[in-house]
Order: sequence, then structure tokens, then C-alpha cells
Amino acid sequence: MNQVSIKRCRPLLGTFVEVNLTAKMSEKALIHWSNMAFDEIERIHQTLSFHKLDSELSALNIALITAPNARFTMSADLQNVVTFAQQVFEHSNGYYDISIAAPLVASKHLPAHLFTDKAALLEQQFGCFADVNLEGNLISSAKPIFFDLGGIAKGYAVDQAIYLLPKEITGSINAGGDMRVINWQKQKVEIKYSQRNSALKKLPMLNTALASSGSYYQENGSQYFDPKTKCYVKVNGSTSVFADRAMVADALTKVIVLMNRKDAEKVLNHFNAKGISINRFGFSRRIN
Amino acid sequence: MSMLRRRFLKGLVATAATFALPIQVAFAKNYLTIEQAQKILWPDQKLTPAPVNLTEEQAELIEDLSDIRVRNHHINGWRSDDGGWFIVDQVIGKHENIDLAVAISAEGKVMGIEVLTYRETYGDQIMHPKWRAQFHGKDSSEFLKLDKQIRNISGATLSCRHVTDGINRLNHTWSSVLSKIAL
Repeated sequence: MNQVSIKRCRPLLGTFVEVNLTAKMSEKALIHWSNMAFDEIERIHQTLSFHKLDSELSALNIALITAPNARFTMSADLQNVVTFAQQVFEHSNGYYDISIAAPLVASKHLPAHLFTDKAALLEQQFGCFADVNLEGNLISSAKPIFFDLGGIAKGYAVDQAIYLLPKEITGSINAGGDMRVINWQKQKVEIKYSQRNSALKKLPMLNTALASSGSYYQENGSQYFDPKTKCYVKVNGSTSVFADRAMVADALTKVIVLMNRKDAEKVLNHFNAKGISINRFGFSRRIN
Repeated sequence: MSMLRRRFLKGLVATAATFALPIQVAFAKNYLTIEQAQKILWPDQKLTPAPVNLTEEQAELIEDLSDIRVRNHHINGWRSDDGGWFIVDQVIGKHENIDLAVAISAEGKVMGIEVLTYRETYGDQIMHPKWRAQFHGKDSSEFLKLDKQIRNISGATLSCRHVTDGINRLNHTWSSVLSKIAL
């Protein structure tokens, strides 16, 4: 049977999700697998979306705002992501914190739809991830708290979509810069570091997953919020992380943006990841 | 004095040249051809070309309802046997210029969206008539020749808000015009 390829791109997760697959199978079978990959990404989006009121994340957020002490039972997907977020929180000394949703809602960078009929609840003092108590699939918090998984869910969705593909398929999935390349060895990747369309830096893939961050598409400044200083951090050029999972790469790009280089190096090494920063002139520098 | 003037003139020419330089080639990515998108979005349906031209009033009505500009009055439409639509549309955003294929069922539900061609643009070059002309009337199979190999490209997350706006415009196009066209 001949090798067939398919390249598809659909608007999902608030961005563009690209699925490139190649295999020795019928075109119909390959289309089926590309549909499966998109469906899985869409399913995770439905589960982990901050913006959708009917997502499981919204149910968890409402529970942790109104009755933080009561234990909430999480699905496997939510548990995977929150447990990993806790690990990164601990290793980054609190620089990576999914509970920054509260100041982001207060500064109107995230919608306050969880508080439409209970605005008084938004006035209370919210905790940070250190207040969270995680035991397997059960979660509770000492203080009211709520999460935004915007900096981790896309990577997780890409991972899950890759896992369900059969072994004979090669190719890549890219969800707005969070990507996985199946046969990554000896492959090159182009990283966009500025708004200019020629601003692409070619680098060898260092692992199967890659995530990149930059502020150049943001119309109203940076989207990186520092939980310690309570300020936004501007990124010049871009920062990229290679790791064995897209979720790890996705979360760690934020750590690099927020932490000083020495501390970021330690976190990257702990998660067996490699960081690279590219300045706005296209010069790249290894972080570890 | 003449040297000063020459330097001034040189400077002037150099400045003018930077403005007159050809606009940099935009970066384009091609995904499905129209035929492939038809097979994926309407797998078991025969599609018949059904182009529609919006009247001035219809375009204005759609603009009012969707609050989105209707740039093109011509709709590249196909009709499925059961009354559904397959539409190839173009969306122009701040950073991108995208060809989309959208499937709308006979009941007006969006069944699927596929990006056919994604062109990254910078600044206002998309307003430049010459730049726009190079894409006019070409189908995406011509671009496939230029872009055979799969390129892995990573970068900051780009919002798909303009696509969402475009879909909203097509939803209103369906309810105010397409739904009234007999099969």
C-alpha cells in the first residue's frame, strides 16, 4: 500500500490546530485518524475550558469558590493536569500558579462569568496553589480559589491526541505553537520570534514536544502575569521549551518567562526539558 | 554646499527606496484542497456547484445582523443532495488571511470548518491591491506545489477570533439568504 499524507487545520481551543499525518493506509483510514485526533482535542477543550460554563473546570472552580473545604472528585484528565500543575508550582517556588485566575479576572483579562449572579464572592480574599490539598482524584482548598488552565491545557490536549494514534502513523500535531512531532529525530523546526512573517528561526528538534511563547501577537500587551509581583511581564522575541510531553513544554515556557535564568535552568533540568530563547533579532541562546 | 546637497539627495533617495521596495512575500501554509475538504466535510454526499451573488440589500442585512463587514458579495457555494451547503470563504484578520471551507446543514447548523490556506500577513499589506491580486482566482492546489514538504512551525498562540467572526457572518448569510434558496 502506498504512503498517504494528510494536512488539516481547524479552529479549535481558541487558536488553529494543525494535524499532519502520514502512514501506509487508505486515505479514508487516515482521515478517520485525523478526525479522532481533532475530536480528542475538542473533548479536552470541553473539559478544561475556563470560558465554558458547562466545562468540568468551571464545575471545579464554582465548587472551590463557594465551598473550598469540601472535596471535589476530578476526572482523569483534570487530575492529570492539576497534579502536574502542582509539581511545577512546587519546583518553580510558586512562579507557576494556575490559581492566578483571580487577579486575571480582577484585571478583566479573564471574564468574570463565574461571578455573574454573585459579584460579592469576587471581593473575597483568594488563596494560592499552596492552599490546595490534593489526594489522588480528590481536591479541596484551605481558602477560596479558582484555576485557569490556559497555560497547560493545550499541551495536554496535543499529548492525548498523539497517544490515541496507532504506531504506524507518523507526523505532527500543533495547537497554536504547542506541538508534538512523532518521529522528531533529525527533524527541524522553525520558531517564529516576531510579528514579521520572515522572522522564523530554524532549529533542530531536541525532543518530541515543543512549546513557544511570545507577546508579539498580543494587541494589548503581555499575557504573562507574575504571581509574585502581581504585574505583567513583557516578552521580547520568544522563548521555547523542548520536552517529552507537550504539557510539560507548555507549562515550562511560562516558568522561563517569569523566573531568572539560573532558577529556570534548575526547573528545566528537573523536568528533563531544554529551554531556548530567541531575541527579536533572531539570535538564539540555550537556557540549559 | 553642493556636497551637503548631494548627501541630502542621497539620503532622500535611500529613504524613498525603502518605501518603494517590493512588499515582502507573505508566508503561506496549505492544507486541504477544495475537493479533499468536500470529501471530509460531506463524506457521503454528491455536491453540486451553487454559487450565489448577494444583492446590496442582502449584504447590508448580513452586516447589520452579524456586525461584520461583508467584503465579498459572491458566495462560492456547493449544495449537497439533502439541502446542506459547502462554502469556501475568505477571512481577513490583522495577522492572517485565511481560506476556509464550511459545511452548513439543511437546518443551518455548522457541521465542520476546515482551513484550506493560511497566509500570514504583516501590517497592512493585505490592503495592498497588488498583494491581494496574486491570490485572486487561484485554487489552493497551485500553492501545494510551492509547499510540498511539511514544515514544523512553532510560535506564540494566534487567536482564531476572525474565523469565529467569519463563521458568525456565514451563519447570518445562511439564515437570511441561503436558507430561502430552494433545492
